[in-house]
Amino acid sequence: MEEIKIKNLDETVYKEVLDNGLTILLYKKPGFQNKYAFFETKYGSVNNSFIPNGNKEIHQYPLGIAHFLEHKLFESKDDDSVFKKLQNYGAYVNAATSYENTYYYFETTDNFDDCLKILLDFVQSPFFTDENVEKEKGIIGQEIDMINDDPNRFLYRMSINNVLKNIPYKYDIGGTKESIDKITKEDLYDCYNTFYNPSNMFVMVAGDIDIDNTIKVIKENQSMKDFKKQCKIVQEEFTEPNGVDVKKETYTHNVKNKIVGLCYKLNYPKMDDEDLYKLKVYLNIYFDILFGSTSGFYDELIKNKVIKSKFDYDSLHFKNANNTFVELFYADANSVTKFKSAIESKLSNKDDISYMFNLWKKNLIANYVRRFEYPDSASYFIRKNYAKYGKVIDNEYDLLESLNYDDFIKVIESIHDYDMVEVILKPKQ
Amino acid sequence: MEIIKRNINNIPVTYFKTNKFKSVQGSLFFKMPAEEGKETILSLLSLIMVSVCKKYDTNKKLNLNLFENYASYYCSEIRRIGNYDIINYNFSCINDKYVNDNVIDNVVDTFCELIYNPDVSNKMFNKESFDLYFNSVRGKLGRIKENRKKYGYQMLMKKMFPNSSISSFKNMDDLLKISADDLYKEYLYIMNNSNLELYLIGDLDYEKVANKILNNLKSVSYTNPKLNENKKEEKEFKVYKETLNTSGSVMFLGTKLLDITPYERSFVIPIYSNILGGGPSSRCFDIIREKNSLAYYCYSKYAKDNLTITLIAGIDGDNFDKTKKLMLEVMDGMKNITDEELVRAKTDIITSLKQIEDDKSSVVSYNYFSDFYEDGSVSEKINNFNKVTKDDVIKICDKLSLDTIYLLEGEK
Repeated sequence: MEEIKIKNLDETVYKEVLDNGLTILLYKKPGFQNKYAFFETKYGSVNNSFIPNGNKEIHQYPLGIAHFLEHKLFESKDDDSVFKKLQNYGAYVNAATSYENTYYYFETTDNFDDCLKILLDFVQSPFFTDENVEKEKGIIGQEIDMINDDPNRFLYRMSINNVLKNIPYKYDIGGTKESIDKITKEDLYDCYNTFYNPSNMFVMVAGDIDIDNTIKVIKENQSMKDFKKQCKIVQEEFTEPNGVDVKKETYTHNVKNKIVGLCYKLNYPKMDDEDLYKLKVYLNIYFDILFGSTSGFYDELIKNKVIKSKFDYDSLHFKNANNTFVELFYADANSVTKFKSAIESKLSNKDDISYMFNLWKKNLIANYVRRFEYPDSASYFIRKNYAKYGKVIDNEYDLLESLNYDDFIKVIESIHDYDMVEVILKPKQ
Repeated sequence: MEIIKRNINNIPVTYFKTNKFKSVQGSLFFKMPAEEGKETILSLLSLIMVSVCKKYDTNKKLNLNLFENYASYYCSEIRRIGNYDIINYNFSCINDKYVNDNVIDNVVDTFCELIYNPDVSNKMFNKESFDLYFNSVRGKLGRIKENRKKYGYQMLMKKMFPNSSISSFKNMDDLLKISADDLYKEYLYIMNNSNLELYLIGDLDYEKVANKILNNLKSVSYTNPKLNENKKEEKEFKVYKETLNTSGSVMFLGTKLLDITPYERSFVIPIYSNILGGGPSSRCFDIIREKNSLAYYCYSKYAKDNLTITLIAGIDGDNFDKTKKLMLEVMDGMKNITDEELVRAKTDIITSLKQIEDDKSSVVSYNYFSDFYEDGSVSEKINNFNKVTKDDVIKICDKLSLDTIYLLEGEK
């Protein structure tokens, strides 16, 4: 077992890799009642074109299948549902699918070992039938409707769809009603058997746990199963060219006032993980300085009657797609032109922001320390980094400390070539 | 966690001494008699009070101060329980020892500025600040229908409790009547007519902090809260429909609880509601979603304050009649619950109680609000939940009165 000391904080993450390839990450946090366990696979909504186990050619699967599979794994052969088994022990259970990952988790104050075994077992016991697949289509169809009916999520979804040209991040994680209608149980087994091999997965446990006992429970559980390490999964690769798919689009929606979304796209060359991490942080700091809570930007928009009352922004990064960065701004703008002009005027501003850079850097470091305040927040970041970079990042404090204004300025100066889309939601009259 | 209780300046202070967190939190509670129609002005006041003050007269200036103090923050919450309104103002910051700086002192100083020196001159809130936050609340009120669950629930309550403080929510009509000097008058009223309590949690010099905060405040005594009781009404079960520009629909089935004892309110009905629609093992989830694929979500919401249980489901509008029939069957089926369901519900609720001490806000909130219901400590509560029998839960079926359905129907 490897002990990974998180530098500058008195924190340790333990790591062990089993014979079947499963990675276990453990974070002990004394004094807390709740314990958390996550069972995660590096498989998400973008992994739709791949060579399934036992095949030689790339197959394409319907959009939304990773999310569909996540729902179906809660199905069990026996009468007792997974939910009931875990709730009998007082545990709360849930799952989520993102672009690149799917995880299943529970949290509980008692009976942790029993719940951990149930988690490992239900994720590793797929049970798909024609009947239970058909039944799920109705449920997920309604989930899709619910997401589409939320103006913020709809705006986000259409912005991403229109700004990206070629990569599967373009499509909604849940797919569409039409795409999920095509899913069969055979498709689900193909995806499961390819991506749910332990060598493509990891377990993260956090809380006031017994490290040695937890490892023992997982090892014993896995030793009773017949998983063998598999070779690297071959997937179709996509490149994201410059430019956007749809420059401008208007939709009617359940909104009181017109909502304008402006989505800016930046491409960066491939770089090593440490440089990429810093680039992300510099870009986030830059947009926060210009548009965040210390900028006064919101007050200016209100004062100049550019917007009515709503403004927000969000940053996304698609590492496996030419390092595409997307910055999304949205507001209940009175005028699209004035809103765009306000954003772009900020982007072209050349004022000295060294003071603000140092202030935001200070806060990033404080927030990094606070991540380790609770076992769930700590485990969230440990998992996220492990899924993205394939390792536990032990030197993040040093990386943040090493950020400097000169490098920051070089990154800002690289933001001159961007593409942009407009997405407008208007109320139905 | 050691709990220290003291009166400082005649105001009760509760300090949860612990070093398990990396940050500290303070919460100052103002409790005052509730008045119908005051929800909107209290909402505006509570927002402006944590956004600007005389010393930091723009939100930008305040945020710069927060950032100088390592991403500390201030926030406020409002709640109505029975015949009282409660506003709490909170601060939170990283503990000094992690950054080698006087963060706690600085943050408490700014907190006192926010409470004692609002952005006021000539007996009214300054126009620029007032307009900005007035506008922000107006925007949120204007967009209420975009949050269908919140909007639909409010509409249901309005139908179930017409002309009552229970169904009195912040609204545009009341907002448009508020002026900058009205707001200041409300501020003065709250400062001079509230019952006060201070809670602190973390590793800090609580006496120093409490003395700073409570230096110029006077607390008023009030009687115990009077909680809502529902009376039986000769009233037909009604269905209301409203169309929104969405594809999906949301359905709210509202029921009232009658002749409820304090024991049932606090310990029996939560178990009933958990079995009925309290999560993925509940009857609503199992029957309406899993077995009949009628809803992506279907759950029950128990409002302890006004003694209602509401079933909420996200459905396809075409399935309204089918879902309604099934919901009524599910409720009828609650006359037969299993031992397994009872144990599972208790385990679920008791686990949530044990988790309280893992979160600073939960610790504070639980301890303050438990007095309203006289529920006792966490261990007393756990004992009481364990005592609840199957018969206790089944009896609730006869105390439930179906009242109203509100459907937010999507357009085709």
